[in-house]
Amino acid sequence: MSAIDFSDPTTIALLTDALTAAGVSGLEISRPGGQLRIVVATGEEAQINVSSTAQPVSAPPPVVVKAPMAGHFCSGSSSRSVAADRLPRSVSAADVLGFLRVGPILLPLCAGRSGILTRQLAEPDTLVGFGDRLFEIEPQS
Amino acid sequence: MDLSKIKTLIDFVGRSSITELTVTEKDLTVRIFRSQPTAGEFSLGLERGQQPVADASIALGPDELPAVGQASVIPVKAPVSGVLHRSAAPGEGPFVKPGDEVTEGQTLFIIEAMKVFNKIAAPRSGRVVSLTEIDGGEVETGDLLAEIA
Amino acid sequence: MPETFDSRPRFDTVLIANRGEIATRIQKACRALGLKTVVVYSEADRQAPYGRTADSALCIGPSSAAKSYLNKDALLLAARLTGAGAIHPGYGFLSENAAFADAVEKAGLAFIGPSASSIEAMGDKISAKRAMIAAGVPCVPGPDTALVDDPAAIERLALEIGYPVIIKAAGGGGGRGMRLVPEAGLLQEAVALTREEAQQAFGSPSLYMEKFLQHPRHIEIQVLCDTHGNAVWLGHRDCSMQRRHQKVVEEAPAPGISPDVIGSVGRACVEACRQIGYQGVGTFEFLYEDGAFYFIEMNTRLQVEHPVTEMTSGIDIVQAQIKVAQGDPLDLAQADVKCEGHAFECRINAEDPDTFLPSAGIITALTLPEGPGIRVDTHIHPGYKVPPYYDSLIAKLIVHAPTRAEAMARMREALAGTRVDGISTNIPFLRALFEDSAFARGETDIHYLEQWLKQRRAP
Repeated sequence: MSAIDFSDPTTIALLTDALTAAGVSGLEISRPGGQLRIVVATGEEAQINVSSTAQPVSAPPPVVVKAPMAGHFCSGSSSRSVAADRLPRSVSAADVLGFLRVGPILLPLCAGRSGILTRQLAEPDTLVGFGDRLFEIEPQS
Repeated sequence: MDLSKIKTLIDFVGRSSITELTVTEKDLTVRIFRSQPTAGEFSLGLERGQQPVADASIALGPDELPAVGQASVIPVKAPVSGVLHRSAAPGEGPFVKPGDEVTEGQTLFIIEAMKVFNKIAAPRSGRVVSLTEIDGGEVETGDLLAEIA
Repeated sequence: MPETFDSRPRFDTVLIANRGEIATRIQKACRALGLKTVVVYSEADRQAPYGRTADSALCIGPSSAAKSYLNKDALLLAARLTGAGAIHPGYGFLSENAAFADAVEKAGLAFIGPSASSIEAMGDKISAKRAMIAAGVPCVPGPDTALVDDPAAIERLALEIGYPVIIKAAGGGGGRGMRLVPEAGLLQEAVALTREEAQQAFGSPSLYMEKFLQHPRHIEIQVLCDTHGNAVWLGHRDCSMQRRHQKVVEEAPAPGISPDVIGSVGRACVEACRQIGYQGVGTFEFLYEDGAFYFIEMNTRLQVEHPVTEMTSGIDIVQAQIKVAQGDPLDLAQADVKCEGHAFECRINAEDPDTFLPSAGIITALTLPEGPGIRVDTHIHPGYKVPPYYDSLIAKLIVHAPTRAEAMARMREALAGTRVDGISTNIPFLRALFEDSAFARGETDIHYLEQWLKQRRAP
């Protein structure tokens, strides 16, 4: 789908100029997550309205992997080499990034999406609660 | 659709005699219009105490334009803080969807605050032209939940 | 006294399975006893101040109470992860849930409250009534058995008790699951409707019938029992000031009650506790009309209004409750219990003072009263966000003075010195109530507040 950033002032200026040049009163562009309205009133300044629920940004926001329940956070896997745990590194959706230790159970923490694993946000062997932020992934399409 | 295509459409509307053009491609909708009344004429039809709004005829096609005056857009704001529900119960369909025609007093949302369920009713009849995407999340007093035109 | 076998392990860390002002209150009691605390919270309560002052704090689930404070597995898991040896359920949530008490004990932890079987026995209102009659506790006229499914027998019973009667669900309580029957013509329909509601709301169609009292007061007795067979009662409270079965103002002692009359009721409550092997703190709730007491139900937990009894008796009820759970014998006998002066408690709710609609949001500024005889139990602070997910109680204002009139004056002063900005509260309504002359005289019944509100609304 279109990657035009409709909140970009340059884009708005370009569209406004086009409207004025063509003698057209207004323009409305809507897509899920945002809307742009430009109304050109004769002899007056244009009214510009940008609303968005998810602000379009050039880079997609990082995805945070959160703890699905309370437990002791264990990062990486002891069976792999240190190099495999180096950051940043690319991961795929099914990759196990770490575990939650809950009594005798180790609950795997999956990346859930492919991308670049950029940060680990919890210290190893600490107690984390539900919803605590554990990893940050920059999605790659 | 890219910028140059939108610009081509604007030029097309400018050259032609049409008053409104709506093009939808995938989930992007572009509406280009002209012959809007000026701001001065516009505010005449507004109810007392309302801010003049430029997008009065939003989403109305040329053949749906009211014969007299202009329909204004009525915002529906959260009267209390709480958890917004768009349906009566989890799993049930929403009270309203964008584009639905609603009648005055019809339930649009429920805001749950401390075990009390407040029904949010349509302030007047019209069409739902915008609708919040929040469902099951928190809203604050004064947050815009929907617009009815 | 025979030493009863005590399987409860001693503990040094208490997990507080609750939120709000009572989480703060329990934490304070634990600290006074040298115990560590674990605070568990939902996502909506991430910023709550008692989390920061706890020895450890853990988020156990999303904002919805069903997925956090009512999630038994998440609570037990949190206890295991943090090494807590006991769970304090507070009031509400899982505090009167027999299955939870049982699960806590089975996990090798101490449940700070009575045994699961006590909770279960008192939770069934018919079995509770039977136990009270056996112990000589006065009950509302009506049988201590469930209604049979025979319209003619139900009809005869109602005539025998005398109209008006009330049909109640055995699994109900706290004002829920009951229906008033003023005359014979409405009886069968009321039974059918209540049975259906009882099945839906409490999972049991079991009903019972009682005489309906016209103008009762709500008076309750606080008990404290250890695991060694010792039990005392700590005086009485009047909680007649109610709106929609919710207590608004409580006081101790209940005004105008003869010590002889209440004394025999208090002793009967203690006897009932011994007979059912009750452990911990509990409250016997009564209706009081024309000089007589009628048992309605027993609350097997700490009450919201416990501070008025703490102020008059000088006993820290939460500390006493925790010590009992440790297996300690009571360090006082009935003769040591001396209640002095008069105490009031106002429940400060985040709600509109006129419409009573809840008001969630951020507290922008806060002034709380201080001074001799004034106590405030609260968790709020400037910048605190009152979440929309739970009940609207944000603070309790408690005062104590030598006499009832002085205590009322002190409460007026305390209310005048309380200011909560950013959200609506019921403070203006409470201020007006403390200016009411009938309330000042005392002994108003459980319908008084609703009538007062109705009159106030009338132009």
